[in-house]
Amino acid sequence: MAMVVKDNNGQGFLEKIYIPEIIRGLLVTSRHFFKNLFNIKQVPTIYYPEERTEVKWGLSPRWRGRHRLTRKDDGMPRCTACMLCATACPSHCIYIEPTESADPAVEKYPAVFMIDELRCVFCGLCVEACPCDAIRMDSGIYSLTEYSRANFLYEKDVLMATERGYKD
Amino acid sequence: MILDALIILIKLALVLGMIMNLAGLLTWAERKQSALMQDRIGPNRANIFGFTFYGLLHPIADGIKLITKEDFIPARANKAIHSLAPAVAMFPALVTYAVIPFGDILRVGGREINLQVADLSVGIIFIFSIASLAIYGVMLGGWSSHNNYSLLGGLRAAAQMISYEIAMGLSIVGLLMIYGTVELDDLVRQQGYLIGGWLPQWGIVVQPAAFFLFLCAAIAENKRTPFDLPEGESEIIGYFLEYSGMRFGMFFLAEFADIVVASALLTTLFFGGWQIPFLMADGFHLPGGFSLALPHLLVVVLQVAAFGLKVVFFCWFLLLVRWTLPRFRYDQLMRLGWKYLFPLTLANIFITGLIVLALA
Amino acid sequence: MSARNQEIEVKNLTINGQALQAEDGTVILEAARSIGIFIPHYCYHPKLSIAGCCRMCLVEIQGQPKLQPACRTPVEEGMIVSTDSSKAIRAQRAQLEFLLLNHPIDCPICDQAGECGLQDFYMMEFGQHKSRFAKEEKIKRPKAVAIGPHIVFDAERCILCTRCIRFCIEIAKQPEIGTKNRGNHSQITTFPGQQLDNPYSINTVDICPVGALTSKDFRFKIRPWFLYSTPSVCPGCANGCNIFICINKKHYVNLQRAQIYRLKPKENPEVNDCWLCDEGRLSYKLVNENRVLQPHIRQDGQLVLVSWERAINEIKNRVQKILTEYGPQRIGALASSKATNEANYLFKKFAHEVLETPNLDFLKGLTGYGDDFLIREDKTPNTRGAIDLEIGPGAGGIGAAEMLSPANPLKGLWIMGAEPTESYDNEQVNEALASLELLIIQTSNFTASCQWAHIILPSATFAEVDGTFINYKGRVQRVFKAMQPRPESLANEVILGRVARAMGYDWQEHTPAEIMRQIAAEIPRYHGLDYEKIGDKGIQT
Repeated sequence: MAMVVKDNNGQGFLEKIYIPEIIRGLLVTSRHFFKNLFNIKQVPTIYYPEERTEVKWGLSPRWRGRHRLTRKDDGMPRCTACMLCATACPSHCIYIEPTESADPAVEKYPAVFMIDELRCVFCGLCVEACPCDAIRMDSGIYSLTEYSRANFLYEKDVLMATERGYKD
Repeated sequence: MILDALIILIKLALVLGMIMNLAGLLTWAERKQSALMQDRIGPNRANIFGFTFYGLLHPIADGIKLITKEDFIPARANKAIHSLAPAVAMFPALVTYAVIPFGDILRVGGREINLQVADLSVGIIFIFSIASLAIYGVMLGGWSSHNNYSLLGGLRAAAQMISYEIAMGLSIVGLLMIYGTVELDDLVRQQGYLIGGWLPQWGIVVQPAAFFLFLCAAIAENKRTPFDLPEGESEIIGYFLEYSGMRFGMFFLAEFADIVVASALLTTLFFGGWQIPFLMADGFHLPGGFSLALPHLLVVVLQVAAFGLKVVFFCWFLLLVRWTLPRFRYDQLMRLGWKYLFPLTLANIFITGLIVLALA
Repeated sequence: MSARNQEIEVKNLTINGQALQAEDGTVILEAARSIGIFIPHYCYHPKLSIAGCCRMCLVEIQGQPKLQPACRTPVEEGMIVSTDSSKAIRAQRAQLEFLLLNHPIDCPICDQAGECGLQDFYMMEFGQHKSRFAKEEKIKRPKAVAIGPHIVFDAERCILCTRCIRFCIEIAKQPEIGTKNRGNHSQITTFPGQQLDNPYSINTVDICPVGALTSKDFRFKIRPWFLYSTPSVCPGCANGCNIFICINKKHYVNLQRAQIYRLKPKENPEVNDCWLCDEGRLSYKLVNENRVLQPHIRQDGQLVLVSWERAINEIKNRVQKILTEYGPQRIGALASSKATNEANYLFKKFAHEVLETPNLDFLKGLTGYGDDFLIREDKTPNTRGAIDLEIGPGAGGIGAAEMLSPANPLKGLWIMGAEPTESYDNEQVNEALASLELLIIQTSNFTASCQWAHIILPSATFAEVDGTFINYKGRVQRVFKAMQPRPESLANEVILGRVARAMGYDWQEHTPAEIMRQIAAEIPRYHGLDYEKIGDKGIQT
């Protein structure tokens, strides 16, 4: 496919001399200015800590929040430590230490499952890669705050204790 | 004698107070206005007992913050010049205002008080000569920081300001040819005359091309978007990179003071300064023969208020431009300055000269 | 060329339209491989006898009505073979489906995933993502059964290629496993009362094309796609088997440092074909465990961690004290048959020039089980190298045995990369070492003798340096630097250079390649050798 180079210098004389176009742009921005000046209420901005998106509008189910690990009925992690999430992860933030499971039906499970949320770019590739539906990003947690960097290493117990964040 | 000195002091205080307060307010206005233009709310966090006053407390909070912040000087910077640069940057912005008339002559108790700090015979030339000193502030700031980015920012700023100073200076020449004076109070007074008995003889009317050229050059001189290459705080960072605390604040304020000065200049040169259309020294004289006599003091107050409003309007307009247009590339900036504005100003002078000759 | 052609008959044939020549007796699969055509196969292995039981390599030969297995059909004059005809492809695809009828869908927990033949062909080559056989109908077999000290067996994953059985019979010469039952219920099993327990058992894991046999040691540790391989030489014995060192790519959060996860045999027909003994395979652990990570100095009976500057300064002072007080005759130097030639050569130079002592020798390491295949009694990789470098007592000097006897005249002893108790009587050595005024040990791992050491210097292991080993047959082979040394440890030759410079000698910092050139210039046997000539296959001297 040939690349099409679009001339950005404007079409026709009026656009090329800029001034009418600049005035047009100024009209657009000043229209917004006056509209909002006299009716500030209709501005879609949320006063974040006091107002919250999930309360005001509800989060989209497609929103990728903090990870969580799903559990089987017996409470064990669904994760089989296949490392596909760690493989798919572009920011190398997932660390898994697989180990032999006492349960013969399981064989392999993660002894350590750690996500460095500071390195995570929330791309969701781990969720797509998981063959067991063990890792999900539907916790609805978007505000990750800790007092130290070390605390951002989320371990298996924390990830497993997180529940699905919103109802269907 | 003492009274004269006192009057001058009062005028000084008035002018300085006006610039500084406007500049301070502009830091708030810039944020609030940009927010409104972009469908946001803008500053709303600083409050006293829960009252935010539309974010008006933010400039005060900023001032406190800037003053109490660490005043950092890089280890290998030239300390003296590094400390001096913000003051040098601030100085021209404040001094140029001295010659701008903010009202007509006020007659009180038999005295004639010129509402202008200094009525210099060189007028506009004084403004340009002082404004050109502004380069020193940014150059010294960039150079003395011992930082390559600062230095490059300073160089960009110097190149840009020198380039656009020429266009700015030449764009005024046509105006001066028409009015035949460089004294600003004279200039404003002449703008009070009517053409054909109904059209005020404002600069914008007699020199519309010059207005656009001057506006363009003035924004470039202020180093504001779309000409903010010397700073480009979000990407390319500029000459005040190594400044912190109130020294940075001085650069910051100088920029806003420059806006006020540019607005005042635009008002004075092209929008009749303190003139209100059809308002003469003794009251309104509308074209239809209708007239309304007003006391002298009221007329002066109206004129000063008109001047203030015009300045505020232009401040608003400059902010509007800043938040509407994207930044130029550096080669585009230089091309615009030298290949378009400079020839256009020359052409403007030439055509104006022809017309003036023809009318004479 | 022509002379050779007369000896071995050459056949002309065509594979997929490409004309080629192959020696008589070559099977089609190998002939095709030689021109870059890959024929899928599971049971065929070039070093084992041919079974022809997986039927994956069926190819179409013009003139023959039925498809023929490429792995056991020799080339013939004028043969026209096609491996990509629709008939051959259909047969391969159908055969793959058969092989996978009872194969479980447990790639996520299978250790072979990533280097699995089934994944390669099934998913990548033929893209048969949908099974026509329901999961519930698959025959259930034992999973994760430890059938030997090193091997875990999963009968469900097995495709009965019998490579492991043939390996045990033909290579390890200890038939311990076979197939039982018939048809759909066939299954690999150990003979009654036996285990898969021969010195080469982990090779069955390497040759297993699927995840049926997995190594207990490597199992679940890491995924193979996180590993990268560096060629090297096994340090386990004097045979010098060629290996790949598999190290994790830096992949995770800062929790996992680079370390060796496994050794795999590297093919070298002159030394080890493509096999490696279990003992050698597990010899990587010394690189990961029990490492000396910082210089130690003994102060008031306690070993204290110090910086390199401090340690070298201390060595300088104390060695000079012994040299001035007692003279060079009272100081000894012991090199090691575990160290590379480069380190040993420099150590010899160090003993002669810096310590000025004739008391120089090298320590032989452990000895143990040996056989006539790959395993040697001498458990150190470089004894021959130390002998060839003439590391031994000079005129008036004493040897290792004398140095480590309680009656030694020594005040100071410098040991590089060896453990005396491995080759000499424990009590005698302890007594000898305890009486020393200065014992400097340069070692990568904490050993028994460290309890007597006054100064311990952390050195790098074979996986962390460039160098050469010489095997028992006199073959010079290179070890490549597979990973950076642990932060504070240094290669032996670097340590020696630093100490020499600190003591006022004008030693340049030489790379191992430069040291090898010096060795080649000095030792007639290695004349003209350098790293480029040695290459990654080694050179017989």
